[in-house]
Amino acid sequence: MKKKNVTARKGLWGMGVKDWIWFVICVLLAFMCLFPLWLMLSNSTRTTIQIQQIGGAESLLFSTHFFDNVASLLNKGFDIFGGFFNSLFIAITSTVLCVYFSALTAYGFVGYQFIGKKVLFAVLMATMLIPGQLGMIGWYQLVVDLGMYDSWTPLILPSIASATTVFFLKQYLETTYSKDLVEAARIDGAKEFYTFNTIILPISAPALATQAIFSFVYAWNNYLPPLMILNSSSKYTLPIWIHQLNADTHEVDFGALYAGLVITVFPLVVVYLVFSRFIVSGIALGGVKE
Amino acid sequence: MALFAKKRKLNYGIYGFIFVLPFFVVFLIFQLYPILYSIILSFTNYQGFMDVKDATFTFSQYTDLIVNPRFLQSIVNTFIIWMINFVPQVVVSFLFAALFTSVNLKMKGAGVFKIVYYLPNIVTAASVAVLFKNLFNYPDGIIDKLFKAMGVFSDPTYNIVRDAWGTRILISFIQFWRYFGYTLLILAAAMMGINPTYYEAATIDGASKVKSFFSITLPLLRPIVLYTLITSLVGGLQMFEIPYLICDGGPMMAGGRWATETISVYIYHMAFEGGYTNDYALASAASVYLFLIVLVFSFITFKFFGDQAFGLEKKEKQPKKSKEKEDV
Repeated sequence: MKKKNVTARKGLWGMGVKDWIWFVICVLLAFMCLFPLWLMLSNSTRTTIQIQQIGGAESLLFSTHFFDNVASLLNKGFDIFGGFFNSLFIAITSTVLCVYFSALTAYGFVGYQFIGKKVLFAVLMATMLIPGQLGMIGWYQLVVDLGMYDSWTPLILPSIASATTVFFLKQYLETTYSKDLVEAARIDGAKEFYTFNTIILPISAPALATQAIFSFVYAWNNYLPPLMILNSSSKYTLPIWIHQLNADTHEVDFGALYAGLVITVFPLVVVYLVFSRFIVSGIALGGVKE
Repeated sequence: MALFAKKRKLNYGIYGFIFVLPFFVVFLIFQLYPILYSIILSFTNYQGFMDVKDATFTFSQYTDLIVNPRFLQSIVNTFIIWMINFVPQVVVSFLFAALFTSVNLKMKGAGVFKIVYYLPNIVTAASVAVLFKNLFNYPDGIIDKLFKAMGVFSDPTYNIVRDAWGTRILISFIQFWRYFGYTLLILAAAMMGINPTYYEAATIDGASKVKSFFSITLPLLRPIVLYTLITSLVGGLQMFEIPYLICDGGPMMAGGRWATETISVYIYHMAFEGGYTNDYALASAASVYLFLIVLVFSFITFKFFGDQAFGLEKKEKQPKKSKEKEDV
């Protein structure tokens, strides 16, 4: 025991030889994660000709043409900023709906006893195993039948029913919810809905924050449903613009393409880095069913 | 008095029902109804140009699909791509999760590494696909140039998206790149949850680290491995963005088969693209097959790993039950 402590304190930065070997391996793996994203960023600052000519270590460096590339993207009719705000609107509304109604559903399951509760919860759990693609054609038909083709409603509204979010929030509420809090409010004459908004939502805040981030990322990245139903380019979300950029194969403007990719990815990376601790611990909580 | 109390409880119960109602209404409209609609369409001859009311009953899509080489190939492709990414993903995730939770290792920066490893998972899949496609693009892609300079690709005119296995491996690598951080975090969290006294007891009994990994860590992690396996399988079988955007399911192989067309890409092609009439019936039947495959494999996974997972779940449920009763 003593011996181990001594060896551990030796070496550079308090790390022994073994720690250093692992550290280098970890750095290599981190390099693998970041390298493609780095290339995306560096290429977005180069003209297409520079991208085609370049090779070797030079490609890691930055140039100065990012805004030229963005301008060329806009000139070619790729309304990437319109797409950005469309994505932002859809992601924010979906997130608000998802988190609010998931919390409401979770509280309904945790705080009350009613007939059919177990069956309903079993149904909710079962939906997590059903592949989304099973309902793909039916969903498309439904959207057409309801006259919602080329609208955002069928992209936003379904976020009310997110089984994984409900499951996570239910797990969380089971540990934090105390009947006494609610009872006290009831004695004071508070309505149930009021109790939910003023007591249950605040005590769930940490879990809501984590789930809001996941929900936002999910909505922001959503690709297949908008691909199926969005038709007019003024309604395109960012992934659909990426699809259009990808399809534009004659005389590819690589600089503009990489700039478009950066604009889709950048906001997510910023959100992620700001909330990374929340997110990393959120995954841990979500995965461990205790 | 008791009766009165009971009545009060029942009155509150109705609020629980009201609170879960929006979820189930939306679920019925946007999830269950489309699923049932798809299943019904799969038994008709419905195609894009007709009115849905004119569609008639037929079972022929199902029989056509089982002998359709392109569809069968799409099932094979889905599993090939899933296997090539899942096996290394679990091995790497296990190794690094064990590393990050190890008590003896004094390595610095584990927190930063975790954040970096999970980063690819949040990046838009569509953008990732287009990014990798262009990095590996022949002749202008930077990684393509790099690999040729390093001799990884020996043929100077090699084009990865013209090579069936090259494209498959590229797609699998992207899936690995996107998901290993997620799997690592989940496994690490599960390992942190194991009571350290088990290891202390094992050390006192003279067990080696390797031995305690196999006889303590692994068995206790069985439920979480099951969870990872099933979520990865259900997700992997639905893989769409990456193969669709990398090479549109291509390159073509002999006999009208496609090398990286997954089941989902096949469904999308049949329903919405590719010079075909919009064959919604065939696409629906293919999605029902996809569902059946998911069911069978989830069932097999449960059978194979199940006992322990169920045992643990039961244990977890009991305290919850008593808590619920208390809270009524």
